[in-house]
Amino acid sequence: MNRSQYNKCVEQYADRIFRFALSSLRDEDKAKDVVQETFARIWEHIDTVEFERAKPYLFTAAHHLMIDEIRRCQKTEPLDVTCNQESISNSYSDIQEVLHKALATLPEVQRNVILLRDYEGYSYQEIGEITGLSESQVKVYIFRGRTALKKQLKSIDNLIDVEP
Amino acid sequence: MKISIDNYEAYLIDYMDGRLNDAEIRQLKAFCVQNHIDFEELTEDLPVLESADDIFDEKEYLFKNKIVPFGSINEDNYEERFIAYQELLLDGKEEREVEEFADKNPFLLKDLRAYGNCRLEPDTTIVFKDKDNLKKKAVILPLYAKIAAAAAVIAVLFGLFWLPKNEDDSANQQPVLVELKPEPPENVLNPSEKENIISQDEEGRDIVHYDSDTQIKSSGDVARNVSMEKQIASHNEDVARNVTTEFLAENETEEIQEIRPEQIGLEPELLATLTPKNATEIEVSKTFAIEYNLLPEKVLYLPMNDYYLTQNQEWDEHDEYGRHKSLISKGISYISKGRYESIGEIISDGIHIAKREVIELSEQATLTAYTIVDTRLDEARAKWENRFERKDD
Repeated sequence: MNRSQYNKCVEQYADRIFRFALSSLRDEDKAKDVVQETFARIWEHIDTVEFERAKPYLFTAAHHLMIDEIRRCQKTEPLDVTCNQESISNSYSDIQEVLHKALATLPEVQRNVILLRDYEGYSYQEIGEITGLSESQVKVYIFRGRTALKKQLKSIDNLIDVEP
Repeated sequence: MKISIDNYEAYLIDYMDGRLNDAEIRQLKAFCVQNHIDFEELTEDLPVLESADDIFDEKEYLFKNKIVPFGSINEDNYEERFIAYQELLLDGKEEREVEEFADKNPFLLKDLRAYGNCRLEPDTTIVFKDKDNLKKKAVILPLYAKIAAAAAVIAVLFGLFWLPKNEDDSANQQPVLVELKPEPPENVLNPSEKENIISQDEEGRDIVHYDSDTQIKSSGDVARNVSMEKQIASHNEDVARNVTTEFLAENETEEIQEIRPEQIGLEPELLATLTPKNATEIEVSKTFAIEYNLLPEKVLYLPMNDYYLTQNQEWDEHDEYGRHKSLISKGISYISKGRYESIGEIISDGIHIAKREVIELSEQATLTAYTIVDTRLDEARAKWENRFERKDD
């Protein structure tokens, strides 16, 4: 990959990685840090990464950086409820907003595989390559994540119905 | 398809994605019923996230400067050219092209300079102290040996140049009894006197002058041979002493002054039957006799025969002719076999012989010059006297 192709990658994937990171971390500054660090990594390996493989490389790097960030957050602020609760976008619809908030309650692996599936449309196999999981594991995590999200949506619906 | 409690959720995903056939769907539903799993509820309206419209607004920090190509240099090959530029591999035109390219892309000037600073310089303070153990001492000649080898070549050439003369001279193979002391020029034999002349010295001993183009024609030649023999004898004193004793015993002679040429086989016929060993012994005995004044004024001189010269290839330090010969053959043998450890000995002898030859040649030349001058003086004196005689007349 050359310099021009790298700049193309920035053009094509920076926003998507930012959304991926923001949805998972729910912290805009941290999401920006992930994006910066992700592109710094691919620039370091520009001679060995082919342009065609740049996208999975970027999302794999971002995934690992996000996991590192989440674990660091859990270590330093184990009881901090605000760790993943900030700076969510105002652009979601109501249901989507609830869903994205509910997403934050999922385990990180379920959260990331659902984001990769829904945001980027990756196949189960590709998600498995990015996350290091088997295809079957990816499906199981996605199913469990969606089921959990559905439960939260239902509970909110019930709460609305109960309210006068 | 084997559905278990660990993987049924994956099959539920496949069902919702429409990837299962009817048989697989029936099998999945049966599994759910069997395990009290609410199939309908689990597969009903699972939520899907929609991507937001969030924009990463700091992309400008991620972009790298766009490289402006110049000439044949572009972003794919500029690093290669930068390295070649710093390695001085480019001609003038190519160098200017690189410089122009760098001017158009000033953010790359730092890279260009960085390649120039990438040359490593060895730390000469780091040395391997055990070099001596790595050296092949038997093969690598020290400088003095090389110098000596060059001198040896000169010495061998001297030997090659002078030996044929000695060999030709020795072809006569007749013993002579000659005067050891240098004779005045007037004693040099006239070339017309092509036969042995026996005269007597002051003490009544015979002086045999042998003239057949041998080297024993002048006192200079005699002195040269005596000098050579003395040097041999001085190096081989013990051997010479033993051989001489044997020689005297064999001839039952108490007084060596009484030895006559015919008594020790000096006749040509007898000489032809001599073995190398006998010839050597005679030579050594002769040199020993000179060294210890067993013959005060005269000495037997025995030129070597051709057979002995050509066959005596072994190192024989008692024999001067064999010494010349064996020096050459031994040197060639050592060099061909790679036995450099012995070349010092060969070189030393070669230099020694060469020096001796030069001294002898100079002596001979001086003597010849003296002879010529004396002859001229005699001629001048004779003319002067004749002139006055004519005046007196």
